[in-house]
Amino acid sequence: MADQTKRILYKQDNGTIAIIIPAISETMSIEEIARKDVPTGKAYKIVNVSEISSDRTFREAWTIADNELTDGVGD
Amino acid sequence: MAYIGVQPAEAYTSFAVQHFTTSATTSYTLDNPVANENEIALFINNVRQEPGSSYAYTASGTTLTLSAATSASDTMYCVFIGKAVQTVTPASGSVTNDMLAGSIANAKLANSSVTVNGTSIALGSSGSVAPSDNSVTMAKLSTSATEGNNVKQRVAKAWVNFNGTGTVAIRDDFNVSSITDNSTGEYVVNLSTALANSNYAFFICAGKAGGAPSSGNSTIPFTAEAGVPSTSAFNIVLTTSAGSVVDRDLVTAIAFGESA
Repeated sequence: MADQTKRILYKQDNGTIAIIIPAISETMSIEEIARKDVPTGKAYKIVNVSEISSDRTFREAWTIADNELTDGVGD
Repeated sequence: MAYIGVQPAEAYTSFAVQHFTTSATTSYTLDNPVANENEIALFINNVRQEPGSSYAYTASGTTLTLSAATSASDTMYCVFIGKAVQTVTPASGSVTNDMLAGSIANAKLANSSVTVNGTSIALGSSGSVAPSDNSVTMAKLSTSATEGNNVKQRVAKAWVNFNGTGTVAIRDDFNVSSITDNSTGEYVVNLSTALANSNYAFFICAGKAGGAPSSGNSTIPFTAEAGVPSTSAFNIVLTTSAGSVVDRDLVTAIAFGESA
């Protein structure tokens, strides 16, 4: 089972954050999922799920600085 | 001793001797078939006879023909000097798999002697062999369009159930590597194993737990233009009947299509 305590962040073309949630049945590591499911060429960051707000009222306003996306690039 | 070619089955064999009860006749029957008279040494009254059609006797198969009839007082015997070895019986326990020319007919096997996947099979019966646990893969299923049990085309290739509100999380899934939360009410289902093509069918159902029927609580799932499915992912967008994108706490999706 993929690590359910982690989330993968990358910046979409419109500037808002996309958050990848690993599946229960997936046996790949969180890093492998990131390389596979993050769009090709986009930088990503892996964070703990606790770092993401559960209040989605202003979900469209969520963003992240480019220099925070340091954990890899989507294949 | 080394051999060139196939080693003889037997190193040597004993000569066979046949004693005849004589009478006034020229015809006798040999105990062993021969190719011709040169394969036996014939003695009458202990005098060796000359073989050949122009001489004392001929032989073919089991027929011995004398050029002159014997009498009941004669003694006659022959030694098989060219006796062919008709059958060689292998020694007990000496026949190996490599010595078999082909497959063994069912009739030659004892019913209790065949074991397949740990199951003893009674040959010629109507029994069946069950595959071992976790051994049947999708590749083993037929792709025939006309076969009644065409499971490969009929089973779901992926499904997912997730909570799209608060801390978005997957409850359970199959062949899904992750979902991507793009925005309010907008998600991507990423498949673990891609499908053969993007012409697959997928269905989305989403709802608000405990919500009374109303336009605000209704949910219309659809795929946005950008969500035209690829072989490895498809999009989900959820709106109310008023057209506003909305998160829902129960989002499910299932895909049917051709396996890669």
